[in-house]
Amino acid sequence: MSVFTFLLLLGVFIFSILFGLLIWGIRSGQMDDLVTPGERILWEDPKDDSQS
Amino acid sequence: MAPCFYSYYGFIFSGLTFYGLGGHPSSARNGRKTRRLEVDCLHCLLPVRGEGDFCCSGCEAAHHFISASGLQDFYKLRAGKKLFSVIAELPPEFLDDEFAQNYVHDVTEDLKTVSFILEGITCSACIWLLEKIPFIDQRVKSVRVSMGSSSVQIVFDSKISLSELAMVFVRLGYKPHLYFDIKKDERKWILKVAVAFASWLATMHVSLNLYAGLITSMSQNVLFVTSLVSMLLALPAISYSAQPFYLNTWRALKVKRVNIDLLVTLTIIAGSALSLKNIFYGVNETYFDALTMLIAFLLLGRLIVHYAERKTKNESDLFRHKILGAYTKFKIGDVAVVKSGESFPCDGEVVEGSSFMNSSWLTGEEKLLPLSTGVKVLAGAINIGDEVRMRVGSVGHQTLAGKVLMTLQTTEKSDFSLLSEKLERYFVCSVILFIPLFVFLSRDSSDAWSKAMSLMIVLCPCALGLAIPSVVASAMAQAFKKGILIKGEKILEKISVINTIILDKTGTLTDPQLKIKEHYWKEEMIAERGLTKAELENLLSVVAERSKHLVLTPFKSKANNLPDLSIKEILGSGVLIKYKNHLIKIGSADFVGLQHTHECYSLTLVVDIDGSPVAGFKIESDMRAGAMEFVSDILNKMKIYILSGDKKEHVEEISGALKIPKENVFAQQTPQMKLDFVSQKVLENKVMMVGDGINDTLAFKKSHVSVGVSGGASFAMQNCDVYLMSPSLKSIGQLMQASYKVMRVIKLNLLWVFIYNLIGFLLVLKGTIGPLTCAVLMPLSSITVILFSTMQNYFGDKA
Repeated sequence: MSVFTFLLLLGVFIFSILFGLLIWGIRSGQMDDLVTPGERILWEDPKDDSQS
Repeated sequence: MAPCFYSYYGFIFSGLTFYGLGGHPSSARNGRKTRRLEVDCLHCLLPVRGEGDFCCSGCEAAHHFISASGLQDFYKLRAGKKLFSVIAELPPEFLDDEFAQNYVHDVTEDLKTVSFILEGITCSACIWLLEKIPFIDQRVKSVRVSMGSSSVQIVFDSKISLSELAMVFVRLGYKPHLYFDIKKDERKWILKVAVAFASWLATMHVSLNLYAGLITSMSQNVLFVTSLVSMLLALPAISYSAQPFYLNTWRALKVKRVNIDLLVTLTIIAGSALSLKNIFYGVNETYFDALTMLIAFLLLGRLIVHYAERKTKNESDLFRHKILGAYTKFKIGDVAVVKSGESFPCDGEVVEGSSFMNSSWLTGEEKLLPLSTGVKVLAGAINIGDEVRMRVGSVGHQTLAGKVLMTLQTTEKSDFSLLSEKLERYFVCSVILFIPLFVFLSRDSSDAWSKAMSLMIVLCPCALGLAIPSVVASAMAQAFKKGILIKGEKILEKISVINTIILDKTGTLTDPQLKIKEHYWKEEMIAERGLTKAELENLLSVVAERSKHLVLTPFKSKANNLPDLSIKEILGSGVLIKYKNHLIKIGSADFVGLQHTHECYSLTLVVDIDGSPVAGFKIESDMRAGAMEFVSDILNKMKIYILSGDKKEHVEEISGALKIPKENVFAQQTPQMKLDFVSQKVLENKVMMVGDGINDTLAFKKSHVSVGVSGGASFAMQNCDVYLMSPSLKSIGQLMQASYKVMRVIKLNLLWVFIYNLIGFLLVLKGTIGPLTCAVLMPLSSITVILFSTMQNYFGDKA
């Protein structure tokens, strides 16, 4: 029982962390556009980085 | 405002002539004239009709601007991808600074931000090009492109005006529209779906332990803790993600209606209550996994539909602002000053000055109307020419445009969803009545509650809720990639039953841009006067840049400055030029003084040097791309009519080419006449109206489906059901084929859901499956529906 409860609560704890990260990611706009960042990375060059 | 930025970019443009690639177009033209039949436009890669390297002056300008800005790599990066040919021009909303400022937000004291929807974004090379804008204009600090929504978010210095900023995009070949960024609202939706899915998957993991406990023995303590954890993990979905269902139910009940969300809400409440009871009674039967799954999939379906619809929405209310807003500024009898390029704020008459009025978006007639004292003007028409003063005759709602707007507000569309809503209500009421009855009748049975819960899960419209939206959203997303914006999930259903198509002519069947169809040069006569053909071509380009005459627009191209040039524009007639001691007249045959019998009399434009005609041009609009194919495809399948505000001979010329019977062609139609015609036709037919101007919008609202074509007035774009970003009318044919396929897939989905749920229903009644099995079977039905819907190619070659 004790091991099972421990593992269950550990699972809930890990889930809470991942769940928090998911909410943070969405709220910070990382899910706003799933197309452009993947395309943009193909064209980015070092010159852009230094100037942006 | 307008003259400032035009002159600013005009200056840049004159400078660009020194950087242009490929030399002067005339030299290229002369060299290739006889050895090529068709070439691709250097900018958009669409075929060039006629001579030159570009399909239109807009593409030529964009190409030179991109090259001169050092961004030629754009043409390598796009790897042969054709661009949408958009008419890159500054939309009128940018000319109204007060209106446009509503879309601008302050970032810091010196920096501002605004979002544009851009017509013309096609591939990842566009991202590269657009995000390089800060290198072209230092006043633009950053540009972030979102391909998904075809929008850009711009941070810019407050020193640059919004119209100047928009012109940068126009010069690159994109057409910007002001746009309220709604990402924050969308994040809430994404969050709700993500929380529901996370909650479902976590609950399902814990539920596996509970399922195992059914097979092997499980102590009461472990069962209690595991069930509690299951409830804890389901709480985010039940309390947060499912809020839209609760709110919709509450709103419906307040107006004494029932909807499908009521069933979802009742299932969630009943499932949670039963699960809670079982936890405390030590029964290994909780339904949190099934409930969270239900919430997740239903929300996903709504998010998919929401995404597809978002792409088509633009909340701009420019015309109401410009026309109805003028009510507060002017009173009848006031004198208003209307500068060149501005629109008339009210109906009235000119009291001072002479100019031209372009009211094609309102009347559908291409011709520029000359303005002089006493001539009536229309609110919303554009003043092309010099500044004029007008006496206000009617304002706001009393103007012609105002009346059109008011009618639009009160014209209702027929409700095609009435039948499905009725069925939904009957279904929900039946389930709500059936479940308590079932529990009552089986009250002696030990598994009455379990069966009732199974029935609620089985009858919950999870897959049913996805059967239509998943197909429609998938088809809408595919349509968007094809350059077709569909504004609403029911439009495809309506298109599938269309049997009558009514087409506008001006700007719809014809290309909005004028082109030189025929040209005649008398080079010996030109040489006799000490001039050359190239010199005259350049002269025409210079005159076209300076003149307000629309008919001269095909001559706009790179022009070398001619310092000793004196130009006098005779409004409504032509242009007088003094050049190298010659008097050159450019204008109609009447203007240059040709007799009716002269061979050049029928030409649109004649160039005359010292009384002798040396060149002539026939200038007309081309048939819009794909018009012939589209009409010939549907000519034998459905009725086609042409309604145009243009003159009879112009309309019949087009209808003859398209082989549309004369009795189906109606010229000189006012907006009201178009409305009356469509109103009569919709009584017995399913009508699609295809148009481009505000003169079509009344008819738009009365038709079953309205289609706005690329290059049309922004107001028409906002009020149509479908907007074609692609210039080709062939898209309408593709759309119709897609709509038939959409309906077929929807019917198959509904049949599948019906059979699946019927089998589930019978198995539950027989006692073969319980709630847990139902919970496992339910997502399979939903996933099948989603996969089947999204894997279809609705715009495939063969529908």
